[in-house]
Amino acid sequence: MRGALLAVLLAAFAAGALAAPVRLDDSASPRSRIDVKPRWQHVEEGLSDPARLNAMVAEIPNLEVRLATSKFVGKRARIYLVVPDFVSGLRSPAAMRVEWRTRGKLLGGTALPGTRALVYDGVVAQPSLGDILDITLFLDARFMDRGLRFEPHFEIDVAP
Amino acid sequence: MTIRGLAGYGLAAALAAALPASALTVVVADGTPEIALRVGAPGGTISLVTFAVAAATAGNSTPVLGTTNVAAGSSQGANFPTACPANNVRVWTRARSTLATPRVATLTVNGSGNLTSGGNSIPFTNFDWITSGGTEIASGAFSGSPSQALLTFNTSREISVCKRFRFLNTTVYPSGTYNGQLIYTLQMP
Repeated sequence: MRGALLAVLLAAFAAGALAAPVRLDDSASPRSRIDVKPRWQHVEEGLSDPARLNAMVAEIPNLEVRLATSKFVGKRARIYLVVPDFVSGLRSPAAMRVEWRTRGKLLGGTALPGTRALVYDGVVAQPSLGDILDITLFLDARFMDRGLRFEPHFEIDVAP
Repeated sequence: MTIRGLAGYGLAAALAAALPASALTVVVADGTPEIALRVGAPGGTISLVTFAVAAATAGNSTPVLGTTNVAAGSSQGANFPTACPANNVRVWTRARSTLATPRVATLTVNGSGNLTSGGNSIPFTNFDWITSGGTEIASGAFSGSPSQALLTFNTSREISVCKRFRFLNTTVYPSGTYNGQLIYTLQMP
């Protein structure tokens, strides 16, 4: 009886592992570290809303990403851009929003820390999938410590 | 104990090998603090406040109220949408910074100079102001200091008050048109 239970648990674990998203290797991207300096988003006088008074924005234009998809060529898959839940230097996950536009191979979108957004849905045709992203970070200065840092990445879900 | 330690090391190495290399690290520098100040009309215009002292009442210690145009006390964006009362001067200031670098802003005024008319002069210590439309800068008089403190506040914040200037009229001065200029300074080290 004990042996049978162990076998069932192992099978369930194995099935779950297959369905888990896989982090894509993006190390072929030309830039590995992006340094940005935010500016105040609203410059008009008489800002009535504390959120507008403290709103900052940082822009990362023309960021080329290259994703290694050779293992998934011919398979139907969904690729997501993931913003990690832990952003060093950010006091609240609600204090940062990431938005991006693309040149068409990937989908534009938006994500908060701890969430992911779909950027590709279809059959993987090439061993490398790339696009150029224009990323905008929306930040709340009330929750920004010095040394804000995070590592966005991409993960893929392959259809069974 | 030793065996358990070795097993843990082996597991950590296996996990590290399974993760693909990541190319992207975003580093966000601290935002640049900002200060802004408006005294009188917006847009960098120097507002003129006029005091008309009648000969019959000169030096009788009854303050003479200053007059100015509507622009000097006009509204200030969404936060201060109502214009100051007539003949008031708006003083508006903003200082902001991130949580990483909280700052203290200080507003001062240089009232050490004089109003002059030819060789005659009236010190600014003969003037005061009545504050309305805000409480952060209390009513007061010019002390004659080149850096008279009016307000200190922590970032991030906007503050606005309306001030009606007065000539105290305690001394009889030679007749003439006297002109002088006050300079307000906002600092945030």
